[in-house]
Amino acid sequence: MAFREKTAWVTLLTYLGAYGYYFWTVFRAGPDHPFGARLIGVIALLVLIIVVCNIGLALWKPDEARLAADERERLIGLKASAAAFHVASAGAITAAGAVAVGIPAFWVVNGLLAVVALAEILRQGLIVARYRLDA
Amino acid sequence: MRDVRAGLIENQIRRLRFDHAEMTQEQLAARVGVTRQTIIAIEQGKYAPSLEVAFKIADAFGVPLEAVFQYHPPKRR
Repeated sequence: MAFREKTAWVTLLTYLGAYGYYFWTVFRAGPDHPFGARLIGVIALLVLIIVVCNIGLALWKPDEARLAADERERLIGLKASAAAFHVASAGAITAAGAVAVGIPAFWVVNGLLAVVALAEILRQGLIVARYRLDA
Repeated sequence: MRDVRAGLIENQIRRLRFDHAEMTQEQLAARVGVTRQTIIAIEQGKYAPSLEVAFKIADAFGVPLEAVFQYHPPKRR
């Protein structure tokens, strides 16, 4: 498995776990409960897990980690980013519309966060799928 | 990453590796400057490389480009 596929798996699974937990707990608690601290905590945890895992992968396979992405890997990343961009931009426009019609901040903030998470999950998912299909 | 329609570009990488003392995909990847997974994808016809990488592969075997890759245009109706 290529180094960049491993890092994509780490990011994908971390996003699924961290945001899955966040949205599950926040939406179960409802809009009346504060969610700012939980949001910051989940994002900090997510970044920490991804950084630690990537450092671990680099230490495990230093030769692979040192190699720059080749043209195929760059193309895989670019195509995945292009698809994720459409999700993110559609979400941003929807959020702008939600603010304009007076939707409560809880739904706008969490909706935007969900779109960001979804876009990244889609990006990493497409990267992993392409690596698997080419394997 | 199939940039061209299936079957349009063939390659002889597997045979050339065999002819060059069973050169491994890892060794070829190191010579070309790509990952082993990219060599696998090219060899299996799942990824059409750039001209630069195609020339580097040919150079690694010491043969002209057309000895490695063959293009078969689709039949016109």
